[in-house]
Amino acid sequence: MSKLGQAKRIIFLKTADGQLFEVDEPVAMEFEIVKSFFDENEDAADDTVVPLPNVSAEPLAGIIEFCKAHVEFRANGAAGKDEVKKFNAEYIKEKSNEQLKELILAANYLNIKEMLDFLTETIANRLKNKSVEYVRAFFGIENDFTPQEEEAVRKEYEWAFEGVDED
Amino acid sequence: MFSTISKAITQQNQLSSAEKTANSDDILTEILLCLPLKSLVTFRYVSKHWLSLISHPNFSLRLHLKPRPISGLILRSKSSPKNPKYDLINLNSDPFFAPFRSFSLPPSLVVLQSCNGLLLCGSPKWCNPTCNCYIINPITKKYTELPGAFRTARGSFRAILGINLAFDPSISSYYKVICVTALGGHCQIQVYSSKTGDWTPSSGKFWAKCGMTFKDGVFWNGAIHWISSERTSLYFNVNEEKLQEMPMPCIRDRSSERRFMYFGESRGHLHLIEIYSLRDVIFDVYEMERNYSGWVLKYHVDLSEVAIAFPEMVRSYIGLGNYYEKYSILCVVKEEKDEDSYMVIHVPKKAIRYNFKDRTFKKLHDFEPGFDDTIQHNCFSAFQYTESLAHV
Repeated sequence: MSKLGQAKRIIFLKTADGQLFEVDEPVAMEFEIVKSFFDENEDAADDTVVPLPNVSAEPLAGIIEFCKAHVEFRANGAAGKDEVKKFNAEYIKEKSNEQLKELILAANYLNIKEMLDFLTETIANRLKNKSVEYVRAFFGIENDFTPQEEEAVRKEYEWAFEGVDED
Repeated sequence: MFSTISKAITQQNQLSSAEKTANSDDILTEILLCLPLKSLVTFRYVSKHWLSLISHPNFSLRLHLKPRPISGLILRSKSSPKNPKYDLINLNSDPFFAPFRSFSLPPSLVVLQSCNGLLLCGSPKWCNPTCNCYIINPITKKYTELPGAFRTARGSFRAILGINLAFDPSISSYYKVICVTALGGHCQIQVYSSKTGDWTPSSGKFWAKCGMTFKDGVFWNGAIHWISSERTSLYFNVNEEKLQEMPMPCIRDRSSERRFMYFGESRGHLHLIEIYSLRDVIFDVYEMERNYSGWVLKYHVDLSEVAIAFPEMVRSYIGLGNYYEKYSILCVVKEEKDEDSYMVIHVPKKAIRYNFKDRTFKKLHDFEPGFDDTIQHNCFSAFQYTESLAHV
C-alpha cells in the first residue's frame, strides 16, 4: 500500500455533506478505517475518493488538524513531551461541548485510537465535578426515573456514618 | 473499481450504523472509566441506562482491572480518643480525585489496616478477643461487622496476635480477613471469608519464633506478609491457606537491634526500608522478588539535601546516648512510570514528597497546629488508600 520512494501521496476523502478533503497519506493512515480500506483494496487507484458517510466536514477538519500535528510530533521525536501537552490543551480550549461530542463520534467511526483516548479523557475532565443535571444536559439524556426510584438509588449510597464531608 | 470501493465502504457503514448504539455505549463506558469514583456514585442516577452501565459486573471488573492510582494517605487527626477522626492527605495530582477530606468512625473504633479500598477497623485494643472488627468502605460508607471471638472448646478465648485484611478487587470481589490467634504457646490462623460470612480455622498449628510479630501484616501477591528481626519471616498465602517462610535482608550490623523504617506494598511491589543508625538519613529501599528468592536493592536514598531544607528532621542529641525520632517514612509509592515513583516523609509538623529518581522534593502537607515536634505517624499508622466501590 505505501509506495516508498514516490512523491508524497494524497488521499481523497469525501464527507457526508459532500466536501472533498485532500489529506497527506501519513495523516489519513492514522484513520484505521481508511488504512484498513486500502489494506483490503491494494489495487485502489491513487485518485480513489474514499467516502465517509458518517462524518461531516467540520469534525473531519478538526480531526485532520489534530492528526497532522501528532504525526509531525512523532516524526520529530516530540511524542509525550510538553510540546504535545501544550498543543492538546490549546486544541480543546476553544471547543464547545457540542463540538467535542461530534469529534469523539467521528474519531470513533474513523477509529483513531490516540485521538479517541485523548477525547475520552477530555470529556471525562469536563464531567468529573459536575452535577447529574449537567450530565443529562450534556448528553441530552432524559431522566427516566420516577422520584421514588431516584430516591431509592440515592439512598443506596447514603453515608452510613455521621460527620462525613459531603464534598 | 469505484463501485467496489463504494460497496465496501457502504457495507462498513451499514455495520457501523447497526452497531451505533453499542458503539456509543463503548464510548460512554470509556469516558466513565476515566471518572473519579465519587462521580460514578452520583452519575448512577443520570438515567436507568447509566445505572445499569455503572452497576454492571463487567464495568466494575474493568474499573478494577487497571490499577487505580493511590488516592492518598489516611491519617488519624488530632482528635479525642472518644471520637476518632481521620484526614486524607491527597496524593493524586488532581485534587478533585480526593474521595473525601476526612471521616469519623463511631466511638472507640480505629483504623487497623487499609487494603485496596476497604478499611479494617476495630478497637484500639484489637488484641482483646471480645472486641469486634468491622470492614468499612469509606466512600460508599457501607460497613459490616465481622463475627467475633474465637472460643476454644472449653469456652476460653484465644489470644489475638494480629488481624489483617486481604482484598484484591482485580481477582475477586470477596475479601478475606486473616487472624493469627494463640492458645497455650502455639499459633493458629483463622480465615474469615466475605463469601461465606464466617470464620474457619486453617489447618495446622505452628510455633512463632521470637522476633516475629503479626500486628502489621501487608497484603501483596495474594498473601499477608509479616516482618521479623530474625533471618526469616512468615507469609500466609490466602487462597492456598499456606504459611511459608520469607527471607529477611541480611543483618549488616549485629551490634544494634534491627530497625524497620518502612514495610508496605505499592502497585504490586513489596517494599522494605531498614535503618542502622538512628541518625542516618541514608538508607536503601528494598523490593521483594515475586518468587520470594530475596530482597533486591531498588533505590539508594540520601536525604542530606532534604535535611538541609528541613533541618528540624535532623536528630538532636538529648544526652546519655538517647536520640529521638525526627522523621519517618509514611509510604513508598510506585507509579506507572518508574521515574515518577516517590515516598512521603514525615518530619516535625510536615509531610514531604520525595522523588526517588530525580531526588526532588516538596512539602506536601502541614499537620494541624497543636502537634509538637514529635513524629506522630509511621508507615503502620499512615494508611495508603486507593478508592474502590467494593462491597463490604
